[in-house]
Amino acid sequence: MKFMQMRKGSMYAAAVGLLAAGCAPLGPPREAATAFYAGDYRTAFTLTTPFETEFNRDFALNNAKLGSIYIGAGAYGPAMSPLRRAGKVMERTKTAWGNAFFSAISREDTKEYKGDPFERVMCHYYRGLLHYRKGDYDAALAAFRRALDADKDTMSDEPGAAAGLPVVHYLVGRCYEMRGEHDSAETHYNRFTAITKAKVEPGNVLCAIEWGDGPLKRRTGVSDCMVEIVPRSCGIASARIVVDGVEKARVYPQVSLAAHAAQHTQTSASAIQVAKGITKQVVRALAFAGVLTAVLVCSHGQDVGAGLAAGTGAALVAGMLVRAERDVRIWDFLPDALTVGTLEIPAGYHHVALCYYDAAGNELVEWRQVFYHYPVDRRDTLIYARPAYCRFGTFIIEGETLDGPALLRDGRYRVVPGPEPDTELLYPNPPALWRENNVENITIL
Amino acid sequence: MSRTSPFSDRAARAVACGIVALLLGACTDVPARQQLVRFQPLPLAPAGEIQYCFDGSPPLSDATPFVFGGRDLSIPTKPDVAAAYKELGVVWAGNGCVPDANGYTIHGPHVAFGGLCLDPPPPGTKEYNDIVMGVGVTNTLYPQWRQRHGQAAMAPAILHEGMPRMNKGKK
Repeated sequence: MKFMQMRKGSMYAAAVGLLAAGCAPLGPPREAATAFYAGDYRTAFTLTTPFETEFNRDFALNNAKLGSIYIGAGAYGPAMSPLRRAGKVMERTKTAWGNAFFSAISREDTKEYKGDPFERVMCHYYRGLLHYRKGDYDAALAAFRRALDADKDTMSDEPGAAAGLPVVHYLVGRCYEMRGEHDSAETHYNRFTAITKAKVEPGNVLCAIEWGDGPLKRRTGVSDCMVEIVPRSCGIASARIVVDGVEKARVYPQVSLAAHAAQHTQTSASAIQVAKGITKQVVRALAFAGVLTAVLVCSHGQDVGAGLAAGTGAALVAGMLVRAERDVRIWDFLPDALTVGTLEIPAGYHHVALCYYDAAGNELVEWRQVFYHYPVDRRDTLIYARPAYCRFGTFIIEGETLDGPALLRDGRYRVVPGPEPDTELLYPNPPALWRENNVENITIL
Repeated sequence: MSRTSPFSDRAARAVACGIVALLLGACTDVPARQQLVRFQPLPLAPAGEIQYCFDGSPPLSDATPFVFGGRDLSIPTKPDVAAAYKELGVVWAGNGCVPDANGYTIHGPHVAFGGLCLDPPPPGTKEYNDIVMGVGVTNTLYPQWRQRHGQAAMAPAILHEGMPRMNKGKK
């Protein structure tokens, strides 16, 4: 008797445990994203780190996001591990049979996240930059080459479609150049020039500049069986690199990740996804009709009303089990615009500033990045910059000066309560998340 | 002939107006006062001289180690300076800290901002700017070191790590 009670108790405990596991969050809370976009990397880091080693279906996504946070914060040393972990899962072709089964008959996002081709490219791109920064050109070259390979299977056949990200071709060429393999470097530089029409200049400083916010995904079509790429923009059209107060270069985006991602949706893989969605709809209808018929047949016409009610209920359950929603999980911490190039700067310490401009040519001062006393090496130096909102400066509210992240930490977008009651603060040129946070990009089961 | 009091008529009107005003007030949101937040970016070149130095930044000649109340945040190369940092639980790359972490570890931010990490911040980060220019830098180590060793323990020989020792060559 006692044994039975114990068994019952353990079963209840197991059931509660299973339920708790099912309800456990898969990734960091929304506040982590808010903090990341506001440039408050420490809060984002604190909220995301607990999910670094959580083996759930969003393992790769959480690690990729953590990698972005580390890179944004300038913590280049620890950034490598999460990106390597994310890259490993993204490149795995095997899926656990349970995940594969459930994602086949139910929502697609019940399987583990492996990212879209452009996300895989970016994972290797960042790994390559981290190696390059340390001067490890062999490892950097390997990572950049993997970035080139990551999306070649899904490339569009349309004429003019980019064969890999041109910036990655440039970086592969640069690695070859640093290794002294000038012929191989030339091949990749030519590829870069053919795609972007930009010239490759010699120089001792490699600039890898990013801005904007990467695309999101939105479900469309019947029963959300299709997905579309939603671009985001922070209004930046170009950037100016200023060294010691003198303009060195004006740069424009060489790659738009949103455009690149959208280009890759019109592929055979996408066609398969659509076919899968339609098949799921057919299966869903069949499940509904089949179960209804079965229950009606089983009731033998004794009580038509009860049979019909039971049949409808069972059919609805069966129909609900088969679902067609597409996976809209995305590495939303990515930038939108990427550009690379080289500059010739004398060795020594320099004040480097990156000023960002809108399409009309007005400077968006909220995004200005200023690096004082930047050490420049005679042979090779990497300047990597991704602007963080209002990070290099101070906010001014009617004469009061407040620290930037302290104001933004409360997670309210667009309008933030002011220091006085009944006062709202309006922020100029806010990050995309603030303006487009109504785009559903987080899947809640 | 009935007479109505002008007073009661006025009172009734006033009450009616009051009710209408109350109802209108309840249905309308009071518009919040809005203030535009301006952002003052850093200038393209710094206004002042460098305040602190560390590995990779422009050097400050004759700077005293931070733990002794100075402006040198370099990784210690001398055993006595290293021992002073270690005594206070400070870590750096190769001594209990992930290299190149910019203070994003369990040890907290850089020692200049009250953490326990001495690893230098990489160039191109806010932390690099702030430490070099002395923005938000607080020395919490020196008071702790003084508390442990007292005023007398501050030997002039170790105050100026970059300078030749004062008693060097004397016997």
